[in-house]
Amino acid sequence: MLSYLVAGLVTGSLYAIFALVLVTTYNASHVFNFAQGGMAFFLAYCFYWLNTDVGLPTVVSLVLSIVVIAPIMGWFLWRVLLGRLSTATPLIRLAATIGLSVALSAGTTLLFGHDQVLQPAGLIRNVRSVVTIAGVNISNEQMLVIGIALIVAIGSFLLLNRTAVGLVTRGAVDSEMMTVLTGTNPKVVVAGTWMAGMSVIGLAGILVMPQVGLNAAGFSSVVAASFAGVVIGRLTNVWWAFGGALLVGVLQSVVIPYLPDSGILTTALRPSIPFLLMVIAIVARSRGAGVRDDVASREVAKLSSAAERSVAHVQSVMRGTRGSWDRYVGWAVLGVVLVAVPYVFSGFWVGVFAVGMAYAIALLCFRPVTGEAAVVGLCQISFVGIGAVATAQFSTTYGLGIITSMLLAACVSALCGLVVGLVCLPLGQLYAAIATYAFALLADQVIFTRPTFSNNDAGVFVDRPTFGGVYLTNDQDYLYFTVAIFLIVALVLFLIRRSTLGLRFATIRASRVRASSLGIPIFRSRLALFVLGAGIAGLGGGVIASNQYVAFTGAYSALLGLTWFAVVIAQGSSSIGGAAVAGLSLAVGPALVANYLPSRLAELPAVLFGLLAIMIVSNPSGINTMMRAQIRTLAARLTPERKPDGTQSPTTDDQTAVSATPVGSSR
Amino acid sequence: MTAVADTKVGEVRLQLSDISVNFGGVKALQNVSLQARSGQVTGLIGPNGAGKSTLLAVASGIQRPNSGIVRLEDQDVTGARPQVYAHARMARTFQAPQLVPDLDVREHLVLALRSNNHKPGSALKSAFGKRITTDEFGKTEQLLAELGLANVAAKGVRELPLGTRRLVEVAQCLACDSRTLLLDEPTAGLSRAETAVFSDLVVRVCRDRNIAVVIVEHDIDLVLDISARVFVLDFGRLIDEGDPSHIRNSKKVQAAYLGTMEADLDV
Repeated sequence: MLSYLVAGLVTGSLYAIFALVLVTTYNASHVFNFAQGGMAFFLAYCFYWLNTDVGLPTVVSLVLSIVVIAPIMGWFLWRVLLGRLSTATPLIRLAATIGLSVALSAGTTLLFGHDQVLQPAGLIRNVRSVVTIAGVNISNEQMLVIGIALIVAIGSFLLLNRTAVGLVTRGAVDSEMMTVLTGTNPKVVVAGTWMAGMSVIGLAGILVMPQVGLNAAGFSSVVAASFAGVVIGRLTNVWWAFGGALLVGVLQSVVIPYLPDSGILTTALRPSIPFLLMVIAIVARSRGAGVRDDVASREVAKLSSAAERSVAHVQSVMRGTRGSWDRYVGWAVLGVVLVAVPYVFSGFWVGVFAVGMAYAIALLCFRPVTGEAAVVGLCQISFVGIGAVATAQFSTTYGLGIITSMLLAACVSALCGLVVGLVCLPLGQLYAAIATYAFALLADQVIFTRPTFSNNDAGVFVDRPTFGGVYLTNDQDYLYFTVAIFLIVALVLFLIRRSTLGLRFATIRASRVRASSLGIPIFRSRLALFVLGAGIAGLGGGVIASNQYVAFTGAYSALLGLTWFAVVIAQGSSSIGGAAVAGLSLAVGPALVANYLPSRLAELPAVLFGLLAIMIVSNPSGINTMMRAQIRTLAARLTPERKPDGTQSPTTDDQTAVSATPVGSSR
Repeated sequence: MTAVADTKVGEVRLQLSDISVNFGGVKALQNVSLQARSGQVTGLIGPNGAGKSTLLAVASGIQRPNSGIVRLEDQDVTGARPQVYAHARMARTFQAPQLVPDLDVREHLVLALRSNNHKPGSALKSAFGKRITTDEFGKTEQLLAELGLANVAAKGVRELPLGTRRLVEVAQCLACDSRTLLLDEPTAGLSRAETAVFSDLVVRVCRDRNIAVVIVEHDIDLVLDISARVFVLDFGRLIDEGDPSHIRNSKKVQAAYLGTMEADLDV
């Protein structure tokens, strides 16, 4: 038993280091760093490359990685991205670090190559037992991990609570101006925190490397497990986070002797402990301030931020454009492309476009969930996977018709959405994002690993449907089928937006207090949207599975879900055309690279998706709206005599920015 | 949007009894009672930090009181969600107008008109066909004309100046067919001329529709001019209440305002 406890403490210490860095950087900047796994992966790979490939001594590699590369990277990321996030809305903060996570993980593989290193050498080459306590041997490596975790914990605590640095960072988060007036430059302090944090992330990455191997997924799952500690520490408390992370590691280890030899408990319980604890901690602690989505405790973006000015600018250009011609430009291009595909491209590409439109159906779920209900839903991919799996079960195992199975699967997904929504929707935006991510990771471990669903990782067969007497085995027919379903779902979403519900959702997005004082049921409305989104995702899952003839559970992992989120958010989460473009780019991008570029560039699309999502910091309305605004500006410039009344001019922009400032603000 | 003629003037619409609110150790309100009657403007004044806005938040269900009772008409709504208050036909405005940037002025009113329709299926109204029915269009036209907003009906609220945005919020409250209306510092940031227009409007609407209006204001002259009854808060306690002439001469009120009131009141 004691040996399990020690092993658990070591794993817990690794979680704890990541959790502590997250807590410290969150305290310093209020940015919840979803990209931590990607950062650790990159820095660990740097160390491995210097040490093994270049052949530098371990100490030199370590110093170069965490004392030179890590701080430079921390400064660079702070300069171009992280430093700009503190004034952004919570949604943008999350989307940007999720984009960064996607870009960094893929970029590292792109940079260092594809070969998975399964057992890289860590800091200590010569692992041996150094101490024996009560008959349990403790190795030098284990001592090192536990020791570093303790040092980081004490260091974080002292930094945040006992030094002027902590005071300045906390002050800078609440009011940068006030901190400046005290004669300190908070920017230097916050940048310094990111640089130091990056070094610790790098060190943790190097420590964790021998255990998980050098692959992005392994790093992400360790960091995701550390989120449990962070949540238990309510994002800000160092000791609770430390203890929580240790608890997760220990629990994961001490249950081993009690597990049966086979069955779901054996396979699913251990890996799902962190996420179960995360959900329990969120629900149990949700009475506290900041966790619940209270009217009073909502985070509101500062209107003076660059992002808000950009929104104001785009809105001033787009003003009065309801039903205007530029709205149809994108649709016309999309329509022409889809109609022309079968006549211009070979059968292979028609198939790729069919996959893309199937993805697009699934991605439409982000419009109700993120676009309307403003939930950063990171488990949408799990609903898609549940839809795929359920379609396979209904059609192949129970022999129902394919289309009937798809609709039933959508209902199953919607039901799962109801459960997740009941837990996540009362939470604030950040906690809801973490909770949905925890659900996605749980689904990975508990649902998608079930032998019935995964069929030994081969997936369960799903046939193509027969529609209107045509058996849709031809990719061209299937493309039209997916386009038709996409249009039907889009029409439903469009009709909802123009109905009374649409007016209500707009009000809820703009002001919760206003909505509640008008008698609008906020929770019920948002729950309805979330369930609708899950249903759409499930339907999309069925269509994807049927297109590929298989419900392959490995295709719906939480990690891939981050990429999906990044792709959608870059297009604008409430844009229907954006969902189509996002779906197509998810299918066409990798196919283009696979066919025309060398295989070592396979990660290029993912890097681009991540970078596009990061761009949301300067274009919060998404690429589509930004491009429409640019088309309008261009058109107005080309036809100066017929300027649309919304033409942007500096004065309009200023007025907008000023008039949007709440009364009583310091401006 | 006819005037509420089924009740007589002067009946108690809103009754706050012994309301106390604590924020941690801070006692924001201590045993405060207040009534608002139909067809009358009830004023609520007090220095900064006196607890006026907190009391309004309690009266509209946004803040739950630690103790005390809130009654709307004859219904005990203490501790209920703000939606319950809205269904009991209470409406309020906010210091910073809480309007929807995505909607134009008329859409704000249409949403409010539909807010009292709880029939199943009403949520999907106008999913098909016209976005705004002829009947709704007529009602909004009437309301927009009444508040002088006819020429901005199709404008997005971001384009409107502060005073107009406050009027839109009032219009939205009236479109809900509210019987009790709470106004939180409605004239803050308005010019003298805009304030005059606004106060005339409040008096007119209150009288014509027999609405109980509660107004929280820093502009004491305005409150004393239009209110039938005035309540004065200081440090979370009700220090005086009465008609405007009583308040003008109240020593307690003058003391609360540390003499600055005297100069104002002597005018």
